[in-house]
Amino acid sequence: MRLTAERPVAAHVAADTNHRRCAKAALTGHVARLTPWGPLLAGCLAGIGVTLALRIFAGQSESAAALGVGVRASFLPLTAGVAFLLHDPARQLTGALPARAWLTPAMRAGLALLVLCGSCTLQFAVAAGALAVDLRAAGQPSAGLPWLALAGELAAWCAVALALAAGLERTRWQNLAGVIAAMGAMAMVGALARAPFHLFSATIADMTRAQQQQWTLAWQLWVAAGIAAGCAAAWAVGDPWRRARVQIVRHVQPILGRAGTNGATQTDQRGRGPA
Amino acid sequence: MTGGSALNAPSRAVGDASAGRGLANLRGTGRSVLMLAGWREARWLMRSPLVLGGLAVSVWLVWLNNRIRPGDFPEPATIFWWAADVNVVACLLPTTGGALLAAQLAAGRSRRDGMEHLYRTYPASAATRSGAHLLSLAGPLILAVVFIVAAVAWVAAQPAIGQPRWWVLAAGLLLVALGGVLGTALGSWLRHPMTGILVALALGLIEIDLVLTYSNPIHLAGGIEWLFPWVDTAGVLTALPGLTVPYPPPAHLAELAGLIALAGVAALWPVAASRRAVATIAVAALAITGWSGWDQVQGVSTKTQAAMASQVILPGSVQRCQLIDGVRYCYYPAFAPLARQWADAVDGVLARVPGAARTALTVRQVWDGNFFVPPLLAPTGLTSNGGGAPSKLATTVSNFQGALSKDPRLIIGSSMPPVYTDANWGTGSTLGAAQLALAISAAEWATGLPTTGRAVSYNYAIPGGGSTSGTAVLACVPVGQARAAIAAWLAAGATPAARSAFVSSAAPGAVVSTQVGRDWVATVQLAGSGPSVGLNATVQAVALARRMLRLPARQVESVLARRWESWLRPAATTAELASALAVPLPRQPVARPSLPYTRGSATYGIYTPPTQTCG
Repeated sequence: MRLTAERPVAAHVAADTNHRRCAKAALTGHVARLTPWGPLLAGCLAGIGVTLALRIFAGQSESAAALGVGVRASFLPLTAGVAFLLHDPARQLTGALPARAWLTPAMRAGLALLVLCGSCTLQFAVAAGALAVDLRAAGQPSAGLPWLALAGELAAWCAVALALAAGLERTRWQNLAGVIAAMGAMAMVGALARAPFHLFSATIADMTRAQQQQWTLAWQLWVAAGIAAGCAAAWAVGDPWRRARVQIVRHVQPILGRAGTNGATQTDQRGRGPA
Repeated sequence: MTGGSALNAPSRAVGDASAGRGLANLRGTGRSVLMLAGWREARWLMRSPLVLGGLAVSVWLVWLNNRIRPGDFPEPATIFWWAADVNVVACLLPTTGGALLAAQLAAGRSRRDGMEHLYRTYPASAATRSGAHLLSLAGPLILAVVFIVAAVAWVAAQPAIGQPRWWVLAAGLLLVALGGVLGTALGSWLRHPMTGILVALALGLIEIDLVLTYSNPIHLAGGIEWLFPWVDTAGVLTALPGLTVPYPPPAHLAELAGLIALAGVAALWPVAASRRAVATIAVAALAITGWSGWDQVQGVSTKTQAAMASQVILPGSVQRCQLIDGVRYCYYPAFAPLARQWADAVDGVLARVPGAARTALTVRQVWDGNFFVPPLLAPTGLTSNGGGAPSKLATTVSNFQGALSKDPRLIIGSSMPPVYTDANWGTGSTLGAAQLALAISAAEWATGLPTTGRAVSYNYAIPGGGSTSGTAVLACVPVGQARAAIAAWLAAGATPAARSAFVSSAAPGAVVSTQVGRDWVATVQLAGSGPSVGLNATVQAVALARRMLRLPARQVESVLARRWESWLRPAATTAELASALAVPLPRQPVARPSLPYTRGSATYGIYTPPTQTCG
């Protein structure tokens, strides 16, 4: 038994370079118009709202550790917004376009990254202000927000949401991929928060050496998880119609021989045929 | 997920109806279509991973919040139902969130699947389909009923005091229904799943703040927090004796019902055939919600607070008394099951007291819990952890509770010295410590040792810099007195568990230095029950009690019975007792002075003012 994965010849191969450039320029505008901005912007606004609430209530009862929890809570709407990023209601039509399958999701992710970076920068700026107020109220020396580590966490959560969404887009539940991915990513974050892996360092100010090491290890693990999830997402969006096909060499060979000629390419019935 | 074969329910329902009676008769079959579609949707909701996931989290929360942990006595080892029922409903919040999300997805399914045009060709109207979505909430409600019954059964199997309030538990069903109807309404207007997620997240963050009793960052004054779906006021409820329970406000059920009706109206408004009827319902629901909200914002009335204070400072007026083996036990009605357990420890002491007049002993439950805390006491600010200025009632209760450990004549009708117990009792590994504490108080009563202390105000200049001041209640030390060893022996032998706890309490590590007059004495502090000061015995007395425990009980009892009255006099010494029992007198170690000192900017040690020898 041998497992093979085959890719049909894409239509874009036939297009010349100039056409490709023009197509890409046109595609950018098209993708930007069809990107689901609503969930993404709603998630970003909700995240900014949570951070603003942290800033408003900073002081008496809010500790630096609680602020860390609050900043992470503000990441959840963003993660949920990202989970809807890959959903394409007209994917049957999009699949017939003469462009590589990964191009549209990649462009969407690139466009969303700009929005996410803007939202994230604003959130960190507001959270840093809240942290300064908290530390002043607690009589502790000032400290900076570990924004790099927190950004690593956010990136990993978003990557997990994207990977789940991309995987689910390949299934019969594709119309619910966004919501399942959003809930799945949040459930994963919740489960990891309860797990004894120390992935969510609480101490922000006045850290000991061990706590600093814990932060470093945590954000390294998050970045590794994010990269792994990103790779999974890239694989999943690479070709939505790729299927692992079981080829029983001994017994099926004669049948294949009748169907094609000496190992000629067979394409999935639902996939794109050769251009 | 509820996004499966969306067409099945209406089409099959209509198919069933039309097969029997024909499309012409469809108007008459509208109700059966509604019921069939509603039941199908309900089954999908029951199977929804979102609802089931929320339910799983609810189950976990109930276990987390209500399990009895083998902590150190006097950590509460019993569950008070008047707080637990509120908590069980709070644990349903994740299920409510799941129902909200699943219902929103179900209501938006037709658009998500691009089936709206096809549905319009169906004989069943859009109002029927929306009604079916509302009826489908029966699914999560069935799960919630099962959850509540199971939670009540499990909590009742723990050491629980009181009875669950079924109307409070019913509020949990309203909570789940509210989540579902709100989700359906959202799905009718804003069908993108992100809407449901954001609403659930926003409500979830608010509810997390409202159900965290101590560490919540935002504190709302009075009854304002009850404007939100649910609040867990465990800080107040667990400090109450269970007679007058101010939370949740009964009007909250009306508020939940009003909100459900409003959300239902919002769900049906786009498809309603008669908008006048729907508007009438909306106005009525708005009136109910507004009235109940206004009623809740008023907070707990002064009259109710006065009743709660009266139950603490005048316990005799509300307590029940029961005679068990000649001893009178007075307790708050909900704590009746504990009386028999208290009797085990007290009987164990009195059984070995020669000629004890049992009828003279009254074991009284007193309440030392502080319930005048936020939200009963308005917080000073939105983000303040502390309560505002205490009211006159709060001060009265606080003074009374402070006097319990100082004034032996505080409560009329109590023994002299008084034997108090409180709401804390042990179970499992903590039972021995609880029994020993009550046995110590009973033994002090039997041997004439005081169970109350002397209040001393002090202002001490710490060597090296700084000073400390305050007020302390000090137990006297029966230095060299035989009755201390007798009391310790009586208490330690009350029950097998109390004996084990005594051995642990009298371990070498438990020895402390106590200043008695100008001298320093090595003592062991054996805790008493409730607000009692306990027995502060010398190491020698405790060691003698341990030797007495090794002797046959009858031998010790006969020695004590011969001159019981004289053994109880302060003049009778441990040396005389050891001699009478024919055991070697244990050595009294030399105590080192233990006073705080300052080195650099840090102060080490705690200052305790000198106490007196028991007279």
